Amino acid sequence: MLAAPAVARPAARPSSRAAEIARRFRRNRKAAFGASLLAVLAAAACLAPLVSPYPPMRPSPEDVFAPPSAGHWMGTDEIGRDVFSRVLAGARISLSVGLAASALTLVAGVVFGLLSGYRGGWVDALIMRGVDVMLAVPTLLFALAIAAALGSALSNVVLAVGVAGVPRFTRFIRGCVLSARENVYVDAARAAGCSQARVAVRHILPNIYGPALILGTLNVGVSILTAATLSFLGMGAQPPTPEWGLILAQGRDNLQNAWWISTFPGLAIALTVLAVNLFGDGLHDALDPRLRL
Amino acid sequence: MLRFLGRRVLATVPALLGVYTLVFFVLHVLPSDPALLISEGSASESQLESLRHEYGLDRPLWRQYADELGALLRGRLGRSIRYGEPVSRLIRSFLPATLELALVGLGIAVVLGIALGTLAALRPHGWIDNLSTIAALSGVSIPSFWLGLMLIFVFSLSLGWLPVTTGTSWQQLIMPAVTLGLYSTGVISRLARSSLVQTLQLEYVVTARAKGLPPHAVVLRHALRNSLIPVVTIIGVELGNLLSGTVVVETVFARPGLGRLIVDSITYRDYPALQAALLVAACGYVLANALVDVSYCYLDPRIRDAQASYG
Repeated sequence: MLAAPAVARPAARPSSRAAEIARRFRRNRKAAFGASLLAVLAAAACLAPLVSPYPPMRPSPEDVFAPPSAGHWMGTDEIGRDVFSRVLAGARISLSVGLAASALTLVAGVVFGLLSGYRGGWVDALIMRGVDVMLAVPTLLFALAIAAALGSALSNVVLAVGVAGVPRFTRFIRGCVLSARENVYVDAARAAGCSQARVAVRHILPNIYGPALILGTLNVGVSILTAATLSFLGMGAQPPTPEWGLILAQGRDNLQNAWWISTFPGLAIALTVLAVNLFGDGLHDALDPRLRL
Repeated sequence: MLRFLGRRVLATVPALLGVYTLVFFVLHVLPSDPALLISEGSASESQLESLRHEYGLDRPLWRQYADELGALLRGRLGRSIRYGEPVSRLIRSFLPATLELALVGLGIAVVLGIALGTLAALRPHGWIDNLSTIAALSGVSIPSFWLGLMLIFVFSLSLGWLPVTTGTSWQQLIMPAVTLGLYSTGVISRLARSSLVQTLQLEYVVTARAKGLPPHAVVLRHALRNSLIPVVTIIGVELGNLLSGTVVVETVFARPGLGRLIVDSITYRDYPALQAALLVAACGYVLANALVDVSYCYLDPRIRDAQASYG
């Protein structure tokens, strides 16, 4: 009797690129840690009004300079406000400022980088000379000058931090566009009669989203740090806003007798930036494993 | 070589002119009136007018720009609104403290960064590599103003090992320099690590090993020097970042320097001092990058030969 012919197992459905990226990301323990930490911080920021034990702005004269305890996990400040509640409220502010400033940098950087790299000629020369000049001023000083010019307010911090990041981003995106426009599919699109704008937006832009996304993510950490620095120097959020850099600055004068006022907001900034950096690095490795050493 | 150096320095002039123009126009949309700040709100309208006239604030913007640029080209930086002194004198008195701080901070970052990066590269994914990754990530994540305050709290206020007061002794420089250098240590160590890992895979390193050279000689004499070019590039960038980082560190440690001058000038809307201080900081940044280009020639003979052939 003849053996039944072996039935070939159906080939496993090839996983999509997104699934492959997600799999690589999950396998990276540092990235997974960063993503988890970021998720906790984002949840804390979103739920701050609900989970906060005390109103972040309410003074309590009988609790002035109370050290960390079961009642006040992170102690209280010079007018009795609960530091934990203020740090929670600050998460919402710092994450919003970081995301908004990075979004501004990303959009402006992509527009100028695309225009410069794809259009070339005098447009490229003009944008690049402007970028060269702006890059000659260190980012923090540039942000300081813009914040000083606009005045101290949180919305101005977003603008200052966002604009200060644009030159670096523009140069990076331009490099990606210069490389992408040499591809055959761009020649094919041109040969098919696509307009310049269509080639740039429909064919080049989707092929540079990976590097743009990585740099954009990493830039969120830089933006949070720069915004907190501006507030610390008195050029950003103003009292009584519970912004991390500002809470830290206000606790500076009482470091010896109330170390907790400055310590916890600083830890919150460091953990948030660390989480963003781990997440961004993980994204980098997952999107382009060739670059991993 | 000298011709290359001269060309590179000359190439910085348009960039610096651009920086001056950028800073001038950014600062001159400041919303508040400096005359009001100088008089501390106590002057009458006619006194304010005379103050505006004295500092040239009543002229059209383009005229102020042209006059100030002309003065700058003749080596005059104007007079500080807050201190009433020539800005050049202020810069001369504040700059040395900042340079000292930035250079010591850079020294700490270079030595620690290269040492940590080299150790990590020798055993990729080993425990030293993991430790170096954590140190590097912490370095770029911890805000310098927080680190400075924590160092003051632990080493000055709690342990009493280091003085918190400002001054010129080396003990008073330790905490500010460490605070300033930590960020760059992280950046330099990661770059040194990845560059050395790549270099250690090259054929001439394999040949050196095959010849029977001891491991330390292979790393120190053959691989390390050749892996330093990207590190030198980032050192130039970091020197610029350190100069701007002094704004924060000098504020935390109350050190009189260019960074403090910048913050105080913003607070008091002291245009001439702020403009000059930002220009000096940008000069430092641009010149550091020019020096990096020149240092390539020493590190890589191929670049030196190419420069020589371009004449």
